[in-house]
Amino acid sequence: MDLIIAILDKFPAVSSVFVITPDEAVAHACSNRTDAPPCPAHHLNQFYHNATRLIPESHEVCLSFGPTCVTLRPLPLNWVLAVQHQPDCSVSALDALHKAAQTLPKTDAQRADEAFSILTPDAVMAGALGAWLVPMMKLLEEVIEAPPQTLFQKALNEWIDREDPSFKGLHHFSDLIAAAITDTNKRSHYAEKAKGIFTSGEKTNKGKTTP
Amino acid sequence: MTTILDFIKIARIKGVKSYCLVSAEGRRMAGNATDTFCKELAQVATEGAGTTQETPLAPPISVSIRSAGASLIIIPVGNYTLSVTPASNVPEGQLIADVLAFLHRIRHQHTVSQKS
Repeated sequence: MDLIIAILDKFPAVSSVFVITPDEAVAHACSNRTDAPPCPAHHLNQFYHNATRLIPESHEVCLSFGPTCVTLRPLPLNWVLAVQHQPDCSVSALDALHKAAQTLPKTDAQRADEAFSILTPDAVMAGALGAWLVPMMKLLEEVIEAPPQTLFQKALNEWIDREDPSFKGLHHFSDLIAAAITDTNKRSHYAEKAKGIFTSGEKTNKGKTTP
Repeated sequence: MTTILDFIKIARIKGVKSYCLVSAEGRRMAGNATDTFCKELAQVATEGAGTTQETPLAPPISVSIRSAGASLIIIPVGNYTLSVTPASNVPEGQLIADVLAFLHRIRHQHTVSQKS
């Protein structure tokens, strides 16, 4: 979807984009405004597939409403891309959106897997947050002067239970680790040093670099 | 009242390769097309109008269906549906504007003649 949003920024004649499933649910919606817009019309998936029966090998249906148009194009798994645009919208904009949307359709099983996927501590450590978490674990080891894995893993599990791990929530995670350190001096020492890690990380993150 | 004879003149519009006028039930009223095509055309026209039910949008003015080498333009005309196959290399936007102007003209022409 990030790529679609970038394309929307590039082509102001396109106002919104919708990805519609075979059962007419809008799986994705975005616009060049900040809010996600409602789909301007209904039953567009069925309409696309019935309309394209009129011409062999047709691959595009455009509904004109005067000042605005909705162009429909096919996606894998019988999903449909609906692009709301001005009448003078370029074909290259539609082509770019069509290409970017090819990977969005998912089977029911894939969607169910995504909905019920379990986030594990290993996955969090292996992801983008690992660049901050590894230094925090090393710091913990320095402060408690003992293997940090058990304490760190426990705090990480608790963090995952409480919220979706994100850069913004790193200070919550740090608080959880600090709370698990029994020695008050070590606890405050850890809290102070850890703050340095994710605060400096915050600054460098804006420059798209990791600590 | 606009008659079928008025519609026949649509073939004179530059860029119109062929046309077909069907009733809401899919009965061919003018032009050349198979019965199957007429029924499917009427169904698609009905569905096209239905896409904007309970939305702020009015029903579509036209629907264009495109393949690599051909296209079909569908235009609702009252209780009927007009389909136009454009000649190759004809700009679609201009052809739709010409057909809509033609439809407006034959409606207006009869309104004037009824008044006089």
